[in-house]
Order: sequence, then structure tokens, then C-alpha cells
Amino acid sequence: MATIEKIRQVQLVGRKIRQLRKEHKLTQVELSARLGIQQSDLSRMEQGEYRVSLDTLFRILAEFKMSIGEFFEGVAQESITPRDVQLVQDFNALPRDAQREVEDFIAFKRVQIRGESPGAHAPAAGADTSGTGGATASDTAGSTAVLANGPGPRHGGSSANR
Amino acid sequence: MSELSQGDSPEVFEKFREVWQRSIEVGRLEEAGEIIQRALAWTNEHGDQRLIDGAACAMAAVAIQLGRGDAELPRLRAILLRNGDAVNCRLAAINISIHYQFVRNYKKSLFYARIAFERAVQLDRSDLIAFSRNQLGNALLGESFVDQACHEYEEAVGLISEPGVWRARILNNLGYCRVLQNRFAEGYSCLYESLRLLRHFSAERYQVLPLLDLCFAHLETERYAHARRHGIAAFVLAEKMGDVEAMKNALYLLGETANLSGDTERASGYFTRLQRDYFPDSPYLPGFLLAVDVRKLVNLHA
Repeated sequence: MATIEKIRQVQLVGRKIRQLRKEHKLTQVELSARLGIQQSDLSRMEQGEYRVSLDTLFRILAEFKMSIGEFFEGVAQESITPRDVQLVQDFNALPRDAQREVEDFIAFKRVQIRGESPGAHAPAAGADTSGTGGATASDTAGSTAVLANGPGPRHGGSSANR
Repeated sequence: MSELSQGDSPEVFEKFREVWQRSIEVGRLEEAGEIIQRALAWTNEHGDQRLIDGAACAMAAVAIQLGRGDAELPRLRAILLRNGDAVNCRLAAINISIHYQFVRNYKKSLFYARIAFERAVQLDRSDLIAFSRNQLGNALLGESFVDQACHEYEEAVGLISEPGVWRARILNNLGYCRVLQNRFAEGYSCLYESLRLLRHFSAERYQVLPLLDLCFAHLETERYAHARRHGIAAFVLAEKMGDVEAMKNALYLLGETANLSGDTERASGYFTRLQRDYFPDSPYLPGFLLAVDVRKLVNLHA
């Protein structure tokens, strides 16, 4: 199972490189010339069949000047920091009920920040919060999922990379 | 060593060769370079073209290993094109191949490794065939043709039964391939045997790679404490040898080991050091490596 996930992740990284290359309107020949590798090697890398040195791998990342958010589905706008990773790990270590409470509290804070009156929707931590004034638990879970269960990032849900 | 250069008979040169080969074999490259310089001086005075070419190839081998191979290429190509002596032609070809391997031009490396292999076959010497097959394997592995590289290493190791530094280095390469193929038991066996031999023969310089590969093997099999131990040993030795590429790989593997074992803070420390020391223009790297598992993209032998 773990092997399948890792292979899938490599394919995803390769696919992402291909996608980014196309978004930047670069041909394989152009990008491989910039990276100092052969076009056929870039092609194999995009298919997840080619391993490279750290230097080459990081040169590819630098070429796109990408944040991790851009790399993974463009959801997050800033790079994931160690603190972010720790937060996700802490979150995943909580029991399911507690995770729900955290999600609800995040939803509450989002409503509060938007300037809407939390009023009747404001949940006390630990309370049953089925209604959160527009920002639902599933909304907030969406951004968390980029870290937790997204395609590629690790330290996510229990299914990630172990 | 001063007695080495006394006399003008060809035996003098053979004595030189014996000493520098021993130094190269155990990785004492600076020492080998000094001996070869003296041999070159001797051949210029007493030797013929064959001996001069032999010493020049040896000098180039040392320079390439020390990362100064560019200047040696014209001389090696001239020896190869002159096509005078099969032994020197093979030496020139394999050294050019090694140079291109080091600058990560694996297609050219493969081209010259094939020439070296053909010459070795012509000479019908199993040791030279083994070294050439090992070099073919290196070029193929650089191109991520793991199965084909593995075949070359297997053939090579079968030709060198005598325990020594060369057998150890080929076993190292084979072991890494086995790990990449998820044949971990065989991988461990090759890598530990390689390390044992290299320690036995005090070939310190060449111990860095099997240590790194063992770190990687343990990482892949989720034995994080062992991975960490080998990773630290690899880093310390690489630092001592001034092997920058190995230091980068060691920091990456140590970070990956810490990360996968749940020690995010330590992982962040290793990745940050990797970025700060070697990739200062890529501030996003620590975060990226914490979040993305790139093990299947990285070639530790590239």
C-alpha cells in the first residue's frame, strides 16, 4: 500500500512538472535546455521514471519559482512552514470528535474575521456546531486537506506516506 | 619513496605504477598525484610514448576524481585517437567516461564506457572487463536504467572474486540498485559487505557512498534509528573528505529520516541547513521537503 502511494506521488510530481511547464508555455526542449538535461530525460521525469540528483531536482523547482501551494493544486498561496506541518500533525493526532471541534472553531473564527456577527452561530469550543454562519466545517476542512490529504504532501491523514 | 625514481629501466616505471595504483585504490588521491608527477618526470626522461601516456592517464584519473577533470580531456582524447596501445586507450576512454559521469552527462559517459569495455574485451583481461562493466553500470544508473545497470554490476562483481576495494565498490553500486528495486535483503547484504571490505582495506574515501546508501535502505524499510546512524556517519566522513555532493545527500537523507519518524523540528533543521549551505537562492526548500516526499525522484548515485 505504502509503495503504491509513493509511486502515485512521484507520478503526481512528474505530472505537476509537466503541467507547470505547459502553463509557462515551455516545450520539453526549452525547459530541458534551461535545466541542462536532455529532453528525453525530462520526458521520463514527467512520467515518473527518472531519478535525478538533488541539484537537478532543485533546479527544476527553482525554474518555476513555485511555492508548495502552487505546486499542489494552487490552493495554498504561501509555502508550508514547519509550523504548518506541526499543526497538521497535532490536528491528526486528535480524536475525531476533537478534530470536529477544532474545525468548528476555525469556522467560527473565519466568520468573526469576515466581520459577520457570530451571534447565535458562535460555537463554544466543544459545543455542537452544526451551523456556522456560512463558513462550514467542510469549507475549512478544504484548506486543511491541502496539508492533510492532498495529493502529494505528507504528514497528512493517516493514509499519507506511511 | 625517493628510491622509486632511481635507474632508467622499465621496472622503475612499474614500481611507480604499483605505488600510485595502491594509493588510488584506497582513495589517497593527493598522495597518488604526487607519485604520478614524479613518474611523469621520469618517463619524460627515460620512457617511451606508451609509458608517458600511461602516466598521463593516471594523472587524469586523479584530477577527475578531485573534480579537476576539464583540463585533462584534450590529452585523454589525444591518447584515445592516437589508438596506439590498447591498455592506454581503455584507460583514456574510461577516464573520459568517469569525467562525464561526474558532470552528469550520462549519455557521453555511456558512449566512452562502451569504448572502454570493447578495449577491455580485446585485451581479454577479466579485471579490466569488470572495471569497464562497473563504469557502464554507473552511466546507466545515472540515466535511471536501474535494471540494466544492475546487470552490469552483477557481471562485474562476478569477475572480481578477490575481496578488495574494487569488489567493495562494485558491491556498493549493486547494493544501491537492489534497494531501488525493493530487493532489500540483497541490497543490505551487498552494502554491508561493501562497507566491511572498505573498512578492512582502510579505503576511507569510498566508505561515504555505502554509508549513504545504507541510510537510504534503512529509510526505505522504516528503520529510522539505523538510517539516522548511517546518515550521520556518512555526513561526518563526507565533511572530512570534502565531498560536497555527499554532504548534500546526507543532509537530505537525515532530514527525510527525521521527518518520516515524526521529528519535524529536527527535519526542519537538516533541510534548513541543506538550503542555507548549498541552495541559498531557494528559501522555499525546507518547507517543500517537509511537505513533499521526493525519495522516488532522487538518485543518490547521480
